[in-house]
Amino acid sequence: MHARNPLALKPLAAAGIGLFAIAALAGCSVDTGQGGSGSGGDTGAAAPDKKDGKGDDGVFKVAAFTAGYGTPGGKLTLDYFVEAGGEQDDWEVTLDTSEFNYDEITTEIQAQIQNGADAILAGFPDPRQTAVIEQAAADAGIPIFSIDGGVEANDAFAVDITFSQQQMADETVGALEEAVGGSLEGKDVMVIGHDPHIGIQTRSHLALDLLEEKGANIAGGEMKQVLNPGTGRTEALTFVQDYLQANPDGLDAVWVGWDDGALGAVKAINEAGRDDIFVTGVDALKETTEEIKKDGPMYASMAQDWISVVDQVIDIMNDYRDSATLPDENFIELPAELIDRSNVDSFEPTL
Amino acid sequence: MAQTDTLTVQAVAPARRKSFTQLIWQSSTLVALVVLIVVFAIASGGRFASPANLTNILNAVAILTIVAVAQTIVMVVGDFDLSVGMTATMGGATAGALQVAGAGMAPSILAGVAVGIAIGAVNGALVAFLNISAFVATLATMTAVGGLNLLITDGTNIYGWPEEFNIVGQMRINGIPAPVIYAAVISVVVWLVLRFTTLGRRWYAIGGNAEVARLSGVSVRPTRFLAFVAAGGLSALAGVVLVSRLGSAGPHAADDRMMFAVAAVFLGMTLLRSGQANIGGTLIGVAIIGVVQNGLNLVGINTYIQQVLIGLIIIGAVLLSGLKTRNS
Repeated sequence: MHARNPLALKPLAAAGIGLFAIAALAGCSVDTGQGGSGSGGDTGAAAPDKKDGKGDDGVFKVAAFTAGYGTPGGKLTLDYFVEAGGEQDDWEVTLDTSEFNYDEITTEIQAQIQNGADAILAGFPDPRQTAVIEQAAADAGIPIFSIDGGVEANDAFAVDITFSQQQMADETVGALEEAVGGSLEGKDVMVIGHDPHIGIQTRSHLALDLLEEKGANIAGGEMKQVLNPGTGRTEALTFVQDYLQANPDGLDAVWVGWDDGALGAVKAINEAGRDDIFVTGVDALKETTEEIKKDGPMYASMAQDWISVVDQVIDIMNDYRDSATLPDENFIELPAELIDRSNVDSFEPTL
Repeated sequence: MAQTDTLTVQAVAPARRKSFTQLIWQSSTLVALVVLIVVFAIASGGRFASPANLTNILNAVAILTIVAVAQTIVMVVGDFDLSVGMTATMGGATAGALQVAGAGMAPSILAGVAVGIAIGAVNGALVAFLNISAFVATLATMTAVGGLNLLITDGTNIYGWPEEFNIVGQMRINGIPAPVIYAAVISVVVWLVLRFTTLGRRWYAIGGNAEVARLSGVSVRPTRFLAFVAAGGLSALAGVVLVSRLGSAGPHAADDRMMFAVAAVFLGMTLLRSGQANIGGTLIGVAIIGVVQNGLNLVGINTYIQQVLIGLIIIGAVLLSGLKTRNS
């Protein structure tokens, strides 16, 4: 009696599995996420065949997300959105967050869409990383409402409400000009930015151009880049400290794209014992306003009222909930408020 | 007749002194540091080597030094700790949060360090007693601690504690910043422990060969556990000093220190023929990182290029170490 050779069975088994796999895959469709149909993104129009934005169950399911939950502005804004949204009629709000991990966020929002979300709220999205979410929403025919979603209109968003980067650059550069005596001509100004953040990138490059137009010398010849926003305060402190070491009389002002970095620059200036170098930031954190009140290096910052932005977005989303109507204008730029020594005492910071 | 045995002693050739070239080859990392200092001194028109700038460099790397010393202890026993940066952040955040809540300075600092010790204990338990790989265990604690840091700080910066706490990290003694003094004292103490105490010898023994150490009577598991506890406590202390210096405690304040600490320890390991982690070498490694960052800032090289250069320096140092080990 001949024993079956087990080794001979292996190629047969492999072939069988392979045939089975081919047969199974032949029945699969592949979605590359690069194309598809959908009516999302059309502005000023009601979604076809929809009388309101609610689901068939009469509930308006809103899937909110942010990849910036670890930032003061991100947390405050989205927490308020969830709280305020929960008080709206027929709303059901979910919030997905990550620490700048768009891979994670994309997966979660795709799941929310598959689970029947009626609208998406994008909190501080980076438009360079949300293409897959935008496509998924478009395919499902649901609108994306955005807070601070970029620096220009995005057709994938039903509306995006943000603050004007140009205005913030203008006002902060103007504040520096005032601080150094009325003219930036010949003054040495360090510019500190963080290009991976699109808002900071935009306003810092606008500020750089403006400073150069006004005749300022850019300290170090180019903008300094903070590598990690989490350690931005320390990095900015080191930039200013090292620059002052190399150029003891060579710095008049520091323009920083956000307050945490600005506070690092302030610390370096204070440690150097200087009272003739001025700093501006953006965010108007409570900590920043306390520095401004000291009449020290921290001269001014820009306050962005995210609470009022959330209120405005909720009103727009309620219109959609009630009549499936999307706003005519899909990009709304609001003015931020310059907070300096003249009004810091009456300003109530929210961050 | 009495039998006598003649003991023959082989003639032993006298030990050959190392040639100058061999000395340079062996201490190439130190030579690299000296070369970097000279290059930056020249490129910066002399500003690099001024006493004020050298003090700046020491102040800038003081926190990193403490974290790197912590990492050295763990690497002496042959392990790795990815959580040192996050632990430092948590130590600082805990101390800051407690003070803002009204707790006194001393209890807050102690609590901050205690939190670090607790994290170290968790790492030690996972690695030493549950035999989980140090890389995996500390990666897990790093992730968890990162989340805790966000919870403690609520995702923003804690500040507004009594001014006396800021003095801890901002005062100067005879012109030397306090963080530099703390880093120096901690380095010396840990060096003494590693060099002259039984605990230090046991750590090195475990790092050399854990099984041989065990057979020699060393209680490997508790000793290895202690290494992680020490690393956690020191890392948290670094974080406390950092937030005192900055005047605020953010959720990511010291996170990046881990990678630079590892780089510093690896650079330091190239100084010894055995390739073992050592405090002196770590300090040289920290100095190289500080000199490169400061020097490049002074001559205006942007931070993106700085990152590339620091990475290349580390690769170069480790390759050199590998070549030295093969040649010996």
